[in-house]
Amino acid sequence: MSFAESLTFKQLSRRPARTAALILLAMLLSLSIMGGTLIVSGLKSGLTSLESRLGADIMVVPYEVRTKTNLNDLILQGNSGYYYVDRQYLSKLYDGSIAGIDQISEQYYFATASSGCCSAALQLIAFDPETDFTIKPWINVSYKKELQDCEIVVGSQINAFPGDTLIFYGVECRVAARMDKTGTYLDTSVYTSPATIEKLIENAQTKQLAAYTGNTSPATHASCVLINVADGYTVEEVLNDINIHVKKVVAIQSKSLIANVADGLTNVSGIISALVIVVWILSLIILVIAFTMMINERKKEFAIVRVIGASENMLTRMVMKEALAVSAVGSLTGSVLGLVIVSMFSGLIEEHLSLPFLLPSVFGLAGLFLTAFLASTAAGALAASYAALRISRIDPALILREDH
Amino acid sequence: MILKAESISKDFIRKRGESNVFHAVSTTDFTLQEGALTIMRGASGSGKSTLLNMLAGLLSPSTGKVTLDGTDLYALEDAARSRLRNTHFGIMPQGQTVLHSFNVMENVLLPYTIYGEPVSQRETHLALSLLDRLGIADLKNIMPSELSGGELRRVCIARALIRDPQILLADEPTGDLDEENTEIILRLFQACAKDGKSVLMVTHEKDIDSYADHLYQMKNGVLLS
Repeated sequence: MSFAESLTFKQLSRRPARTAALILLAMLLSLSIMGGTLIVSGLKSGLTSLESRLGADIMVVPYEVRTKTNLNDLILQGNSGYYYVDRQYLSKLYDGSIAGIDQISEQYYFATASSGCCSAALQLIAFDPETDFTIKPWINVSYKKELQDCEIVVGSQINAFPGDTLIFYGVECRVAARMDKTGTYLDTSVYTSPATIEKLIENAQTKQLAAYTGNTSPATHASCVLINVADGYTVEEVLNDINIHVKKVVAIQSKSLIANVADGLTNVSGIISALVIVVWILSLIILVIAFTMMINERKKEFAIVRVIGASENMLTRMVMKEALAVSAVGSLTGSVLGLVIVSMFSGLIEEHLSLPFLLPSVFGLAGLFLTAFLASTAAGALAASYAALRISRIDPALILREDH
Repeated sequence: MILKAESISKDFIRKRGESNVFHAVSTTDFTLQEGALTIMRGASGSGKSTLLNMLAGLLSPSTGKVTLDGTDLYALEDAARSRLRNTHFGIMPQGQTVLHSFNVMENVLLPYTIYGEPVSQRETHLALSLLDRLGIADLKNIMPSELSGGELRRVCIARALIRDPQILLADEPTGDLDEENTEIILRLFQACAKDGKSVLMVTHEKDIDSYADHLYQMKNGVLLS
């Protein structure tokens, strides 16, 4: 251990309270950076995931779902959709009356009950594997085969795994795959084929189990029609065409749904970012004061070292080493704490902010961790640099004379 | 080695007062004799410590230059001047100047460890013999907080001598010592001078003139021989 390292270690261990206070400051700094950026990043990832999962330019839903509250409930909260439109009204979407439709696929939402007939109260989404372009790509991520009869794919928050069996209205459904986490209602949904849903409805009716379908089935009704617009057409053109010519439904631009969420996210991100900056600046100021006070208290010690033959640069290095040691320990602790706290309370954050939340990937987390660690360590070093500069310019003769 | 001051002076700027410039040391020429104990006596505030600090390379003069064997100390970069101070000067500042985080032995060896130089048996033996000569060898592992003022002063002397420097500069080294300890230190300085070192001691004490090979008087910033 060199003299500088030895002096650093001895000084830090000799004054445990002061060292602990400095470490705590650095920890708070990195905790705020890590926590803040992780929350903002999680919300942005959630929004991106939501955009990907919607996967369509236009959503056509029954007219009664037209209010934004209902739509947000449907898309973000995962409230079971009891909305159906007779497929006869949708015929214009298929017969060429509406120009500019490139891809089109229907979904049928069906809620299970929490009574003894079902493993849990969940939202089931039936999709047509032939036409689907929003669900299937995600299922293929974890399941390569076509879904068989009574096979289901579960969202990431459902406590069931491939090979498990869930019972809905007395029908045993085998879990074929799990979806990746999206941070949206899709995490708590179950996906299956229309045939399986038909079977569940039929069984519920046969056994006289309470299942609200409003006398509908995937064969005759739909909860939602997803449309991708063909090249050469604008989303607005197709959307207006549908709203004018197709009865009992309302066409909504998917982006307009996301826009609400994005607005909320922008507000929350702005507040969090501002808080992180305020905490960063405050911590920096406090650290500058703390380091300056510490150096002032020890200026005689530095003057002695200077008399013995230390150069100005050596004094600067000694102060910086001490600051870096303290900052690195505090930053590491704060970054770990930030990661643990946000990970533990991610569900609560999602619920409280009513925004989709998705933790970044391992690489993303590693990047954020490194950023928080380096930013707060750098802040510690920056705060100490002023004190280091001052101490390197001391007049040892004058300081020792003052002391005497 | 010849330590020489050529026409040096030192002025300080005062923040308050009628005259804002304080002449601490008037223009002075001075040569520290080799192989001799030079004592510079004067009252508090007479400028003797300021002169010593300028000679030590710690305080740049307002005018003139300080040379060591013809090398202008203040023309050197700080790193080079600091290294020169470390290797060629033994400096005992005024007051207690030990590092309280290190024990006696570690304090004595600081001139080596500060530059990360390995401390071998030779240096340790040298440190022990110096401590023995100063009567504090049994305190080598003791922390400074447990030492008396006289013992602390002797630790500083051992530290100043550990590199066997050619120039020894001591500022009030016997200021708070009893007669017996004062005698021990002055004899040690005389021995150093006999070994060929250039020893300068500044003091306000009057009854130690008999130890000096050369005696100077400092009065109101003016050096009188």
